[in-house]
Amino acid sequence: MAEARVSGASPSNAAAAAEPARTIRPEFTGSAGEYFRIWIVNLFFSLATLGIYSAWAKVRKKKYFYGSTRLDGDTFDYFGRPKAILKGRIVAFLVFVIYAFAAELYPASRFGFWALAVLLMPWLVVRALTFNARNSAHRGLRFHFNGTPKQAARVYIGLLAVTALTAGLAFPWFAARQKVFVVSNHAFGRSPFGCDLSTRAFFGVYLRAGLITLALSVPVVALTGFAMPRLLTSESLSWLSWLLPAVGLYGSYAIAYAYLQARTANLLWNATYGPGLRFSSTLSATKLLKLYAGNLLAAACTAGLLIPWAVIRTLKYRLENFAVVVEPGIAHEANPAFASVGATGQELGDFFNLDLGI
Amino acid sequence: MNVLRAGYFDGKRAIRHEVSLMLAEGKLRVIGREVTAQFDARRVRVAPRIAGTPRWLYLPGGGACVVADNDAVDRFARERGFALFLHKLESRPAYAAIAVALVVSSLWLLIDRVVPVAVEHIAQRIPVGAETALGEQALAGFERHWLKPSKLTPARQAALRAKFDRMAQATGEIAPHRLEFRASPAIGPNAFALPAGIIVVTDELVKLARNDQEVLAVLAHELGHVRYRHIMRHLLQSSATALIIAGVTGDVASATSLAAAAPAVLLQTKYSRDYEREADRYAIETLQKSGIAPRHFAKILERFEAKSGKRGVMPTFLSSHPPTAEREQLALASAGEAAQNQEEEEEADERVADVRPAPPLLAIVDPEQRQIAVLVEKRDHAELERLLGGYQLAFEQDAKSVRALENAFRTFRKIPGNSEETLSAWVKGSPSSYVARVARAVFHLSQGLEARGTDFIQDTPEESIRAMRAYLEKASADLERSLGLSPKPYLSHRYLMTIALYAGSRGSTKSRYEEAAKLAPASVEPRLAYMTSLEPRWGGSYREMEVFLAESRAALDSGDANRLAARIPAYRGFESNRAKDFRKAVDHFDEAIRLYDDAETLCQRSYALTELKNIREAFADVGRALSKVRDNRNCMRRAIYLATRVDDAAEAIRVMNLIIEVDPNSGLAYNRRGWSYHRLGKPELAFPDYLVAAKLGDAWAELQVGKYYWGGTGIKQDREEALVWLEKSAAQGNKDAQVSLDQARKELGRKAE
Repeated sequence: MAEARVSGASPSNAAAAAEPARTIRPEFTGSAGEYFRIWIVNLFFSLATLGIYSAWAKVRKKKYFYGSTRLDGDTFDYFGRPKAILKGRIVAFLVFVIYAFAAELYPASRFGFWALAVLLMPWLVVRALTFNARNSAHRGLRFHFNGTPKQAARVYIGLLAVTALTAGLAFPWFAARQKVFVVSNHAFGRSPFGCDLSTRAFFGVYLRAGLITLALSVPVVALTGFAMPRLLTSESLSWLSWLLPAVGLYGSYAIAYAYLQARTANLLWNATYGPGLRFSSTLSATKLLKLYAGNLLAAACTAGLLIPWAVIRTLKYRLENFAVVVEPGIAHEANPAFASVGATGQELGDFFNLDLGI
Repeated sequence: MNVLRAGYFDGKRAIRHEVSLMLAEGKLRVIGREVTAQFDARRVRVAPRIAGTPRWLYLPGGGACVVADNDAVDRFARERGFALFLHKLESRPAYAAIAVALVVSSLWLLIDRVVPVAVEHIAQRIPVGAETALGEQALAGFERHWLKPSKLTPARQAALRAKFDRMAQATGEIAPHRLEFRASPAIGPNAFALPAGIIVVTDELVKLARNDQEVLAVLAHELGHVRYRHIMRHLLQSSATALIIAGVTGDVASATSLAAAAPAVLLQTKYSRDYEREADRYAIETLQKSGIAPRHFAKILERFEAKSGKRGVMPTFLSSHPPTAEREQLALASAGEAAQNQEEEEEADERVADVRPAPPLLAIVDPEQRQIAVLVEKRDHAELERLLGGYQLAFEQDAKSVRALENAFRTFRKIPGNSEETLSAWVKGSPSSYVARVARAVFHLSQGLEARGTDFIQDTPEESIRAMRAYLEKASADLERSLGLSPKPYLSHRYLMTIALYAGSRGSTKSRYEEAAKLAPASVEPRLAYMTSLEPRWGGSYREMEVFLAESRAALDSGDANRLAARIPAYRGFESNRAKDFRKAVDHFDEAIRLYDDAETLCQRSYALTELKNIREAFADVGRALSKVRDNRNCMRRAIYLATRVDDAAEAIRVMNLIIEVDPNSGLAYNRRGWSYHRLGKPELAFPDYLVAAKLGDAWAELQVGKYYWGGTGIKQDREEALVWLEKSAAQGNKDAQVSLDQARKELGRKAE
């Protein structure tokens, strides 16, 4: 039988009042070379086992990322269990196969699938977020997700319906509500996070992104649609006349996307807080765009071999622009309410291992 | 005794305590300034080692320790096999390089080898009912956006449909298929296959085609897609590949993974090109079986290109279809007929499948010759000049390349009789071209020899001789003119020698030979031609042949010398055959073949062996000869004659295949192959062959087709159809058919009463 005895309080606690708030920047100690080796071995075993190993691969990858990220001197830790992930993947694969075949053979059945998917989505979202949060820890303290399927249904079904009804005009509002739902239901131990995201600012960002797309794509289309056929008279080059507009449109979309990514992340994190905690995010849209373009080029030219390098440098850049502002004297504690939660919930949650990209 | 420095977390508060870890007597002791604890070491779980990340030890009761020194933890935990093995794999660049190689090769293996084969098997097993829904859905989709009801008259549709059915039947196609006519200004002239064997053809295509054969050619291609289930295979294959790519690159942003998938996408277009090629081959085979010249396929492709050319061409690697030029070449080469003039084509309009096509023209098997024949057909004089000029130039620089030169010009002995116009246009366009003159001369020479035939001079009719003379004079004029156009007019002398031989002038044969031999002293070719002129039938003697052989030995290598030497016993065998002393003939031919394995000699020995009733060896000889020289007419005739008499039906099929490949209009070869299949007890294979032969007008095959339909052998029973074929055969005077027809009518009559 184990026993543990902790005596005294943290030394920082004693001198609390005198210290000013500290800004802590996360530190990333991983390297592209290291991750490449993990990635390629993962890939090899996943292929060799026809995808079964991919669950173990995912855990190894996450453990590597978490273990390479230091915040205030200590790394994060991930302890999701591969077997739970594997079960989820098998179920997801079976559902996909059934859907694919049924939808081809009995086209009407796909409406049933969609309806079922919409109904199940809130529950799935909550299970996935819960699984990920509970299996993530910092300094031995787990994260939690307290959202309920009902809340999720309100955001993902209710607000999405409103968005559809307003022909997409309400989308920024939906996106903001969804981010608030996810962030404010997370907790580090017993310390809950909060988020007072300004919906107005969110609308502003989306509006500017829309304007950027228009401002870039209209001249591109005009140029390629009217000028190109006159310039490119050679028949052997005329296939360029549909390729160039496509590249141009894709480019303007990518610029707007990078802008959206940077600005919404900044808005979200600067509005997020916890007990004694504030966050800061200073992503730059142009730098992010350069990063994405480089990644795309590198992945295309090496048939994907530089993907690990792309992943690492994107992660590094994001972390470099992230900071936590900590007021002194706050010690985060475990939430006793969650201490004894069984594994069943987590496994179910992992049936559909949704990656929500938060 | 090990002491490890570690951070301790109690799992209740996010506070780090610096501690030392000690392992003693199965207990893990945690000792620090603020914490002291002791745990059962067996219940401490150690996280796997991953690169250089700090290591976690999970303690019973929710606490955890983190250690930076991974090696120390390994010693402490005595970590088990696989986890440590994984870490080793992940930590050495050499292993990573091996893993890259393995991943790339297994991905390639999976996508390029495993998936296509698996897909092929799965596609064969998808029930037709399931595919029907898919096909209907696809058709409905097309109809919504791009297709309108056809404006072709019902009669026209029915006529095309009937021809299409006949073609499908001729090729023995059993895959379910259905023809749909639609108008589509949006798609333009096109035809495409959908799942469940639905073939859609647009009105625009029917209008673009000059005649029905061209429409049928495109439909044959689409039928190929149906036959090989390309549509289902393509669907399955692209989804399987997409799944694999998603699995491999799934953990990155979509745009990046898309970029990484580029090689796989390019591979997909390669598959669809392969599918197109397979369908092309099927189309050509089908057209041949239905008695439609494959050149129609080339023609309609040309029209397609002319029509769509303005819209620009895609680079090959991005295109889902093979380059048109390549496809046309395939069609032409398989057709074995380089050109037919436009008037004849117009005339052939509307006469389809069941009409016997123009007299068969032999295929050119040699690739260099085929290339030249295609250029003649295309009237590409510039390219002909370049190619043939190249051969001549190579010879002028090095007399050793004379064989390639001779081979190239031999093409003009095989091209179709209507090539005169294009060759003359070429000569007119470049009057000082040496090769153009010689090409036309060789063509005229071969026309002249054809007019003469192969009989002895005293057996040849007067007008044939006159026709030959006219051709030879034309050839002679070209060759004389060409002498001044090249510093080394070897070909001119060589062919003037042959002309002199046929004109009966032995003196000038000799002088021409000497000129030619001077230009190519080491070549056996002019010597072979000259040796012929020394044969007794041309006024020479065995003695002269022997003397010439002895003279030549010095200049030739031993292989060529033997080839020349073989001509003497070969001629002796030829004379023995004529004297009907076949046993002696075989002895002479044996000797000749020992010296040089010549196709013509093999055929002659085959004749002698046949007369000696040694059918098995006689057939083996022609089989061997045809494997060597595919387009030897004499050998083909012998093989067809022997095919019904030889015991080995499988061997007979093999040899008939050789002939059909070269001469797809040989009704007799189909007839014999059908008979061989029949003997092997494979009526389902015999029937299609009989049907082709019957369509080519073979009375005996018509009788067989009638009998097969009557009895339902190898084909669905159809007594009406049987009567049709029996009537056709009887009308050609086949006695057996007349008897069978009477019986059949009686039987049907009784049933009608």
